[in-house]
Amino acid sequence: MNFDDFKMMNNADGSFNKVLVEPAELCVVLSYLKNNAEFAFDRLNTIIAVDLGVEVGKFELIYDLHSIETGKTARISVIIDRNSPHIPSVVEIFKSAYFDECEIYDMFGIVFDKNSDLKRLLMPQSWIGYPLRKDYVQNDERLAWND
Amino acid sequence: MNVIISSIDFIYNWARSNSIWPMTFATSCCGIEMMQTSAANFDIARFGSEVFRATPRQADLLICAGTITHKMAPALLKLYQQMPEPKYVIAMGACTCGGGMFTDSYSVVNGIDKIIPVDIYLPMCPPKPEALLDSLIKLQKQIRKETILDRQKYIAGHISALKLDENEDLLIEDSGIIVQSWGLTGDLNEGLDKDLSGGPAYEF
Amino acid sequence: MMKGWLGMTNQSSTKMKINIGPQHPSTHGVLRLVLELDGEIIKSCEPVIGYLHRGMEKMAENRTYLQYLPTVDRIDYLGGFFDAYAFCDAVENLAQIELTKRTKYIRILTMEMNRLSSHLLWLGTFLLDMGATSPLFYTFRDREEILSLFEELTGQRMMYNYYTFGGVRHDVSNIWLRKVAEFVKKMPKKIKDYENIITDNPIFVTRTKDIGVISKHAALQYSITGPNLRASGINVDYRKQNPYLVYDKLDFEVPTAENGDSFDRYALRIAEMRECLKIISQCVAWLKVNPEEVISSVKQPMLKVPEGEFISNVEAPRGVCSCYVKSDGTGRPYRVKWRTGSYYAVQILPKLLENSIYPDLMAIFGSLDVILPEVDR
Repeated sequence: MNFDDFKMMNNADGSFNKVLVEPAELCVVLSYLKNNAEFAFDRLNTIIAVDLGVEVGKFELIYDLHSIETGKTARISVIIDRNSPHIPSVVEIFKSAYFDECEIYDMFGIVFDKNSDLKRLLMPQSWIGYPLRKDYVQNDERLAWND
Repeated sequence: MNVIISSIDFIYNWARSNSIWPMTFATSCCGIEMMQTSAANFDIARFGSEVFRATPRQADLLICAGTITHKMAPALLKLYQQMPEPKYVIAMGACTCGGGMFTDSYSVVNGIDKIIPVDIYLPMCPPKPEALLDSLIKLQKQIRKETILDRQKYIAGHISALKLDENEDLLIEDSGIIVQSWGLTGDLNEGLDKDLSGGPAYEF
Repeated sequence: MMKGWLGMTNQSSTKMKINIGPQHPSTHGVLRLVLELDGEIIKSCEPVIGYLHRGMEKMAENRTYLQYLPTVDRIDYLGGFFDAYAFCDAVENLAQIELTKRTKYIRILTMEMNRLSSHLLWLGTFLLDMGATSPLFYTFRDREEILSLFEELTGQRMMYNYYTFGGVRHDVSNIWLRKVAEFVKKMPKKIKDYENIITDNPIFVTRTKDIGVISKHAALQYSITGPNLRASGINVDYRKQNPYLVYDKLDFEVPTAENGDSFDRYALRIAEMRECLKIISQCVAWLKVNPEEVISSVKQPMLKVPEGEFISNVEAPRGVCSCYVKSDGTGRPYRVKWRTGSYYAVQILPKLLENSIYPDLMAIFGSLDVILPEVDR
């Protein structure tokens, strides 16, 4: 893994650069970026999930890291398959990822391995379907009274 | 005889309409305007709503301020059923009147009159405190037109056509239930001379 | 002997599960807390959110950029200008739209007045939840003045819909600026009045000192931002670190505190209110003498944004508000994601409540300044 790619990421000039990472190397990369004194990205701002479409057949996850001392930001991008979306969880590195991952599971159906307590966060527990996917259609007959 | 009833009516309704105590049911942005109405500039206490009760057992007005989602709907129905008769509902804000700007969202109930009966609809997003006070005055006028001869009808209450599902967090349709609503909704001129003793006002 | 009477020794009492339901007299919104109590000690707490999830992010995919802009005000209704600015900033960066300097000053002026009104409401409701009812009326009276100023400018008291892509809807007049200057002149005395009745109050101090301490390590692990982070001793403010608009030309300070308890969070927000007044008076002085064009030259309903993605960060009253916009070249956004500050404050709440007593719940929760529509979106 060549960490020199990260040196060119800087949000000061307004550009948006992201570095593509394999799902298996994700935890290694994030913990290196957090502990290294030169980068020092110690705050996970958010995790963003994007549905790239049914034809493309992939999900993209963007990890937005901020640094407290230097003020720089970094974006790590991971692409996973749509039909069986699994990705390792980063809860052990950043505790704030727990709510993010539960919400992404709720909205997209992406399963985070090693996250022991993955559950629906924003929708009711009996909801059927993953709302933010591009092919989501709400045809729940039980809720027909709302039409 | 009618003179006695109408004078008792007058005093009974005057006492009730001048001291309506609302319940705090603030979900969303309209809740802030409701709090501004109870603050110093637009004082709601001068209209009789001296205190906002926190529990439904002690309140007689439910000002539903804010968007109602599918997850919140069972709580709203339960709170309405816990209020003692006679009770009234003001649907405050565009979201409660008919969904507002969120009609095409997957998780918003398009208007609370699908769940509970509503007396006054108050559109605007959010309504100014003067508008909320205007709707309160309209409700007071509506109360003054009631009569104690029809009291039994108000006690009969509202049976909803919705029930909780097995996980107890979604409201789904309950087939075979007829909704009974005793003419509490409708326009101001309707009511006293209409014969409501025959049966339910409409079938669901 | 007295200890054994009434069984007040170390007998294990039965644990009780209490539900602080979605409807409650507290003013933060529909949050449900499932508490497990052992007597008065909170053993565990689980927040249940989602009672106000309106699907803001999915709605963006169905609307054009201009149609989505009024919806954005409703995400954090107490700070509507901040979310509108985050969305406008992301779209302006994607579409390469430039702003004039007067537009930037107007945006800063409205945002700082909005921050002031948000902190005033927080102060009133924080003390109302702790039991003191009179500060609510004083702060709401001051907030009414700000709201009537906004109503004169934009036509709306709370959801303003004032920013457009590349400018604002109409210019501010010198008459309005004079009213703002008069308001700013009488505010410092009122903030001093609030401090007189609250800060030295022994009941308030006992209830909030050393309660709900967020350590520096925990604040970074749980991604806490905004005044909650600065109260723990870490001096990070996006207005100073990555200045946007013209914040680098304005003269203001960023207050910090040391301990990270509820009292520090309260004192920090009072200090922030004073800094807001400084920024507002500087903006008013600049705007009076520099006329310029503020109406955007971009055709708003037909705005087609080129392909790309962008994340914009704004220092909102509750933390950092980030907006991610991904565009695929058409007139509708492909994906919009909101990151708000209160979401992570709710996540750290169970950790702060471990082994504290039940009356501390409101002292901690109120000082975190959580607004539920921001959490649920």
